[in-house]
This record gives sequence, C-alpha cells and structure tokens, in this order.
Amino acid sequence: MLLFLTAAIPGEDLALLNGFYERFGGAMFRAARRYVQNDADAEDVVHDVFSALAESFIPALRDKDDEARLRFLLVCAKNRAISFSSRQSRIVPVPSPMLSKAFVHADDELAERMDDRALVRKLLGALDGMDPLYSDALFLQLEGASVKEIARLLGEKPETIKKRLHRARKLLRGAITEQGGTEE
Amino acid sequence: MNIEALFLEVYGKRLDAEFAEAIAAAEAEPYRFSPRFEERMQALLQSGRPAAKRSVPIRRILWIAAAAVLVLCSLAFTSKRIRSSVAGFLVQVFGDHVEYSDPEITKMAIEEEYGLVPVPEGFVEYKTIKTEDYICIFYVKGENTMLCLKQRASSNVSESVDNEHGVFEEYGINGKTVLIYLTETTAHAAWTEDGYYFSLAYTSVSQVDLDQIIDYISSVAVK
Repeated sequence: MLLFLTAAIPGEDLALLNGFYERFGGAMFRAARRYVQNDADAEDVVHDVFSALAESFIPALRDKDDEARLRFLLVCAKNRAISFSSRQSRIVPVPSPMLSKAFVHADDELAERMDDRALVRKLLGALDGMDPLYSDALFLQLEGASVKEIARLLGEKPETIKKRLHRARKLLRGAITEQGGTEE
Repeated sequence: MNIEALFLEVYGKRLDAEFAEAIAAAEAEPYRFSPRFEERMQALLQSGRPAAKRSVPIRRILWIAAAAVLVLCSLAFTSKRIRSSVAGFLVQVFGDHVEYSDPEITKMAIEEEYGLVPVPEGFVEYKTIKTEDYICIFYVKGENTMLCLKQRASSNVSESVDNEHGVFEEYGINGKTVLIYLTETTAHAAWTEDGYYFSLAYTSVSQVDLDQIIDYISSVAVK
C-alpha cells in the first residue's frame, strides 16, 4: 500500500488504513447503507469513519486480526450511520437481535460451548434488553478504544459515549446480579 | 471467565450474525463507489489527513488570511492573463487551495481512453475508475510512488490543488500549455487536449524530478 511523508499519522498506520479501505470498505458501505436513505449518505459515513481514523488512529487495531478489525469497523459504520440518520430526523430501523433466528442459533451454540452456561444465558438476557447503541459502545471500548476515540469514530460527543457506556455497564451488571448471579 | 472477555465473545458472535448479510453482499456484488467518493478517499488515504476540521493556531489563521488577501489582490490584476494562458480552465485561488474549474472542452463523453503509453518503467497500472465522462487511472511504483491520471469529458468539473507548500508554473509541452504545481515530493499537472481536461498527480517520498514529470505528461496518449 501507499505511504507518504506528509501523512498526519505514522506511515505504518496509514498503510493499515489503506488496507482497511481495500478489504473492508465495501462491507462498511453495506452496513451503513441499511440505516441511511441513499448511497451518497452511506459513502459519507464510510469516509467519515476513515477521516476519524486518519485524524487519530486507534492503536489497539494494530495488533488485531482482520476478523476483529472488520467487526470493529462495521460497528463504527453502523453507529455513525444511525447517528447520521437520527440527525436528519429520519426513522432509524435499529435491528433487534431478538427478531433474528440467526442470533438465537448462534447464542444457543455459544451457551452449549461455554463452561458457565448460566452466566452466558444471563449475559444474553442482558443484551436482549439493551439498546444496541449502548452495547456497541461497550464493545468498542473493550476492544481497546478510549471514550474520546469512540466519540470521534461515531461522530458523537464524549459525554454521550460516557452515558452509553455507563448505561451498558449498569444494565449488564444489574442483569447478571439480579438473577442470582455470579458477578465478576 | 472474566465478564468483559465473555461479553466480547458473546457480543462478537451477535455482531458476526448481524453483519453477515452486509459482508456477503459486499463479496457477492462489490459496490462501485462514486468517482467523487473515490477521489476524496484517495486524497485522504494518500495524505493521511482529514479533509476538514483542522485546528489551526490563531496566529497561523491571521497569516493565511493576510496571504489570501494579497493573493486575491494580485489575482484581481492578473486573473485575465491566467485564465487565457492556462489553455482552457479557470483558476481560482482560495486560502489554502487553488481550484481549477470550467475547462473549455468539446467532448461530453469519453470517446477515446487515454493513459500513460507506455506505462513508465517500474510502474504498474493499479486501479481504474471509469464513468461515462470520467476516467481515473492509478499507477504505482513500489510502495511509495504513485501517479494518478484523470481524463474528464464534462465541463462541469472542478479540481482542488493544495497551494501551501509549492509553486505554480506554466510549461509548454508538446505544443500544449500545462499548469504544473510542484512541491518537494508531489507534482500536479493540468491541461486540456483533444477536447478533454486532463490532470496528472504524482506523489512520492523522494524528491520530484521535473524532467521526469514532463516525460510522464508527454507520454499521455490514446491507449
């Protein structure tokens, strides 16, 4: 990939960014397109995510495998698209994991495989009742992004992200302890 | 197992299921991004700099504003000469960039595809973006050098060129007038020819060799 001296971020990060666009740009577009009204808006979303990464690269992405990087970038594109749509006062179709048989299937298989099935079930229950925007923010944070970085990536204020993270952790903790559980 | 690690595993599976459709669609039917988008992305991915929202110290803003006023004042006296001498496109100077627009061209669609003929030694044709009235070909040499040739057949176009770190000069090359913007490691050339508007951008990590750039421009021909 192409490296250039004038880059605002180090050359190796810029090379990574080029690779991300080549490999994941299309999927990011598709993920964003579900939430915005036209292709041009989805393209803007993809551009905005890459702009945010160019402004400040997420160090945690350097050591991840492509699968994890793709997941991370798709979450960014999705959230950015939702934020974009909501600013334009459109009705935003936020997908409910409960409605998808695929999710249920994947969850069942996971619960079977994990040692503490009860804990997995509680976690899944907590996720079912959680706004995906909260769980997405928590996911990005646990993947290594800071509050500021998440805010920049999603085009939100840091305070908004802090609130989402607080709500996500509270709901998660509550669901796991309330059901007679084994909090960490 | 740590609850956070468990969350990552469980939620990761959910995300995989949620995005499976988008990933499959992207693989089965790759989306063709618009030329405008590709242009913006290439600028971003080459420079590593976001297009907007740069925080600039007040002192620098004042310097830029003063420089812009001077440039605009001088342009007021010379714009007519520049417009007529750049062989067919309008040059507008802004604070941090120069914009080329309204090329006087006769073709409204791409009738013949141009390229670098032959492809310069060491370069390979890397990517082509094509529409009815626009072609953009990227040539790369190793990991550090790139040429981007654009051919446009619509007069309703504009192109921005950074003007902060280099100089603009006009050159007569093979009977056509070419406006070249040069920095230490980049060059941008623009001209009109055979009814089309052309631009050739060169970026590298090493010093620009003007003679080499002129050779590249000379080699632009129908493929």
